[in-house]
Formats: sequence, C-alpha cells, structure tokens
Amino acid sequence: MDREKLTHDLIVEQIRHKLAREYKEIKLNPSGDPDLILANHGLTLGMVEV
Amino acid sequence: MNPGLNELKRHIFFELMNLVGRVFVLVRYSDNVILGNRGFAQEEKDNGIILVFNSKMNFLWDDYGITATLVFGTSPQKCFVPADEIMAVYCPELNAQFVTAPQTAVSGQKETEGAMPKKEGESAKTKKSQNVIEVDFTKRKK
Repeated sequence: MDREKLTHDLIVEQIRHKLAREYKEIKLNPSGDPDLILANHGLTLGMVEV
Repeated sequence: MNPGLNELKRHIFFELMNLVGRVFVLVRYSDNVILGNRGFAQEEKDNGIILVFNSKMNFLWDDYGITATLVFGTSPQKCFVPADEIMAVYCPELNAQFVTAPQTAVSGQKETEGAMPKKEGESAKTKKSQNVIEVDFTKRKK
C-alpha cells in the first residue's frame, strides 16, 4: 500500500514538474480526485487524476 | 453566435459580481476589442487578455458588450469588449467559471439552418455537398 502511494506521488510530482512550464498555477490536491489542478490566472484549464 | 449565449455570459457575470464583488473576464484578440490606445501584446494576441472587473468600477454591459475605463498599470484606458469576444467569465474566489469555446463556422451555419425554413436549409446542405469530393477508400483494399 505504501509503495502504491509512493509511486502515485512520484508520478504526480513528475507530471507537475513537466507541466510547470505550460501552467502558471498547478495546485496539488493531497486528498486526490483530482490530483492536480492546472490553472492560469485563476482560470482552471485542466485536471489530472493519476 | 447564438444571442442567448451572450445573455448567459452577462447573467453569470452579474451573479458572480453580486456574490464576490470581483469577476475575471478572458477576452480573445480581435480588431473589435478596444483597449484605449494600448492594444494587445503578442502573447495577448495568442492567448487572450484577462480583464478584472469589480463592483466599485463604473462599467456598462449593454446588448453589444462591456464599456468601461480600465487601468493598465497606471494609465486608464477607455475600453470596449464585445460580448462575442468574451471567452470566459470566472471567479477564482469561488472556483467558478463559465467558458465558451470559439464559435466555429459550422456551428454558425447550424444556427442559420435552424432559423431558416426547412427547404432553404436543405438546399444549403446540397450546395455544401457539391463542393465535397467523396473518396471511397474501400475500393483500394484488395
């Protein structure tokens, strides 16, 4: 279970890092669902669920 | 564009304004958008510009769009934003947003067809189909 979470968090972090150039605001959602919220100037442009 | 869509934008704009007192508007680049003598930067031409309105400002949203004096940095500019060019109305404080995709020519045509009597709509479709070359790829498969 811990491994799963670790892998999950690692993937989320990798995605966040990759998308950081395209989106000025990337909100990490620790509770998941979605894991990442991608936004620019407060306008949500995408959500990522790992 | 369906005129009801602009009315919906306006309605949402004022509902958000009443709730929070501040509304963000994403406006796409167009010659019809007037931002005083400021104009659009290249990035704004590509991605649009975000304008912030608050309840203390004087602005007017009529049938055509928003007329307001907006301050960019320190310089106030008399602006006019046609409602058609508004892509999104949103409020970060509420995590609420209303986004419209660019209206394509196809969707515009559908509106016209809907408004026209059936026969004319059919002839328009026929005209369009005359300009389309249909290729049957199944014949090539052997």
